[in-house]
Amino acid sequence: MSGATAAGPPRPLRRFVVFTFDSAHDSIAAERLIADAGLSVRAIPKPRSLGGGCGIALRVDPAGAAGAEDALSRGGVALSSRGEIQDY
Amino acid sequence: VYLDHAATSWPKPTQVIDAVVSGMTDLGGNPGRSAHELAMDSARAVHAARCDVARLLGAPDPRDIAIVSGCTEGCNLVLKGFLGPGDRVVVSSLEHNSIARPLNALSVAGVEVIVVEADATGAVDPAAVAAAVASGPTRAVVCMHASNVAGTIQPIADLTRVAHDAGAAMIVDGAQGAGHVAVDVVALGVDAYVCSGHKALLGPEGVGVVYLAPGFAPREASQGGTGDGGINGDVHPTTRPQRYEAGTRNVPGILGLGAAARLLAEQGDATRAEEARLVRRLHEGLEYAGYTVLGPPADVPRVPIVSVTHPRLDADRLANALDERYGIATRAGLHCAPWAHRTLGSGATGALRLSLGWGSRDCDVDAALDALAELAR
Repeated sequence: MSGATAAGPPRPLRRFVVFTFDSAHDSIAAERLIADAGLSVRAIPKPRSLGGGCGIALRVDPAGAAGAEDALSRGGVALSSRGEIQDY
Repeated sequence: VYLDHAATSWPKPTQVIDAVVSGMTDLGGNPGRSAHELAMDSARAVHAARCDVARLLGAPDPRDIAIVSGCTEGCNLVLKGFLGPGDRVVVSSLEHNSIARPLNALSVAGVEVIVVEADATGAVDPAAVAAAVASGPTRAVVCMHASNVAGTIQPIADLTRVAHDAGAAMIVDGAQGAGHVAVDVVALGVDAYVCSGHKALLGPEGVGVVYLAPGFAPREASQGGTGDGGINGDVHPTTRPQRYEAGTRNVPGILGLGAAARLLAEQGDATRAEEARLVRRLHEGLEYAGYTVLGPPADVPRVPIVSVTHPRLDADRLANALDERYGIATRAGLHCAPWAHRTLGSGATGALRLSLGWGSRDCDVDAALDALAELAR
């Protein structure tokens, strides 16, 4: 495997902030709160570096992380953990 | 002519049917299990439906809404998850078998069940319940919101005060309440409100709703997969709603229920006003035709259910004749509520039940009244 694809060479890794939650319900509620705050967010499988296993985590740009946490706080959704990953 | 809405509402609103179909076509992933877009779309749709149901019932936090397979499963969850040997429960004599049978099973296991008789109109007197809870330490008071036989609407807020004053929880079977009655679980103050998704809430079969007030936490009925947990996650979560939703949910059904909740949020008041007008016409017309109407008098508000007996005609014969000769769907018998029929004096005969709902019209009432008048001649 070269890592290259038909679409071109692999994109460089970027740094992201990742939030995890106690339940899938909270993950979905949190995704809505962050998106409604006008911030970019993507649901990802819970990263192994943050405990792995089952669960849906949310990935946000570092620049928007503080705003996302503020939106979650105002919306009453508690974080289970906060971490960082390198991702495409 | 469909007059069996108390069994299940029909026809379903187009919005509900479209939502169910969408749940099986546009959506496909398992909500809360995977993070790919198809699964996330399912999870978002289920989340939105849960929020819509919570709003309809006045629940501030959608996490307090668990979606189960139906009202019966919900009642079993709450009763068997909360009551145990040595507990005492006070319950009305109007209850459906979805309450009576679990309580009978619990009584075998050592729960003391005290039945408070409703009056002949099917009304439960809060003073009688107060006397019952005062006669011994009581863990819970259980009462239906509205009778599936007599249509009687119970004073749930008053009963809740009685229960709470005695330190007991208030558990409500809202199978015939929610939808036919505007429900605000916070204003009612209840600890648990369980309802069917497919009756007056207008959703599809296979979904029911359990509202559990914050701090009221019966044991879950099942443990299993919830989409959460790590390598040491073999202990079932206590977070809501996952605690009460082990296993994959009925996504098309939940989406249908959500669509119904949105429809009722818009049209519920108008629908209830129309139901009240039609059921009074039906009640008065049946009395005029010589039938005995069970439950409250015509001028007392009720859910749109009227059950009748006739001195010469058995209920089963009437129901069959209505179906066979007039194409009118009703239900005869004891309506899975032998306690209620004993209370109302119809235990030996059963009754013919005519129940209205969303979409019922004057011509439906006219057809039933004409047919039943003809049959009684």
